[in-house]
Amino acid sequence: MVAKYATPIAWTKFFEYDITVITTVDNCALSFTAVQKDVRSGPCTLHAAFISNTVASGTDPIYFSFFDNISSGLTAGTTPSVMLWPVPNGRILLLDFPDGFEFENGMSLLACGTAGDSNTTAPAEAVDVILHTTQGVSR
Amino acid sequence: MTMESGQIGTPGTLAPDYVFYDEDSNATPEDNFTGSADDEIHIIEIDCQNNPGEDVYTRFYAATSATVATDAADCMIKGFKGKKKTVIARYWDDAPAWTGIEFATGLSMATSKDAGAQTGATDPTGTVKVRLGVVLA
Repeated sequence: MVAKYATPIAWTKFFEYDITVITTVDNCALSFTAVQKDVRSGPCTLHAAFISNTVASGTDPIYFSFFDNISSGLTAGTTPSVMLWPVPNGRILLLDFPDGFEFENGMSLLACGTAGDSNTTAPAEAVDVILHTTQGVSR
Repeated sequence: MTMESGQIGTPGTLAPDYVFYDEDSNATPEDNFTGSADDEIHIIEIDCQNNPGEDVYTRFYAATSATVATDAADCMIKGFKGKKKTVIARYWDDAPAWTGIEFATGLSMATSKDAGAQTGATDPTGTVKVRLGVVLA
């Protein structure tokens, strides 16, 4: 028998992976907000990411960074990231990590308007993110 | 070490058609290794099994040449010490169509043990192998 659940429910808890949905990761000029820092507040493994920059105009591309840091060890424009990806306007970036990508300290995110790690330029548009993670790392 | 490449199939919507590989990737940039513009990276494999001492950071520059430690990388991913890891990366747009990570003005690459997408140009202590699945324009 197939069970049926009405929404809204805690649907992200039904799956093997923890699913995190963030609707606005933006604006590094305003520094990090709570939703950007400590997306995972402890060791975790990233298996897949969906990063949506679907507006037709604005900052092109935005640069999306992943940090192996929690809030206490993270300063926008100074702390080096562990991944940086360009996401052009009108595109959705899909990342698949068949071996997992480990964050030993925790995971924080940032979307900016310039490349590299020293940027503090906010993009004109917000970015939506879906992450598939599991708790803990393998090393 | 000079980047080498081999053709692996007919270009397709979802599959890369060339593999580029650097069997000893380091902080000396491999400038314009595809030799063309508008190329796309679909798959990145960073093999640090012979580099057990420290994590590394492979940087990609949308340029025909790069000055490592000075230029801001357009794309960067950490390689884990002692491990081989792969990421598959693709864009979806409303065309609709799939593409890889696009490098419109050329593609250069370097690997440093200095963290991040810009600072530092220190060679890895061990041997780092980087293999890329690429669609040439």
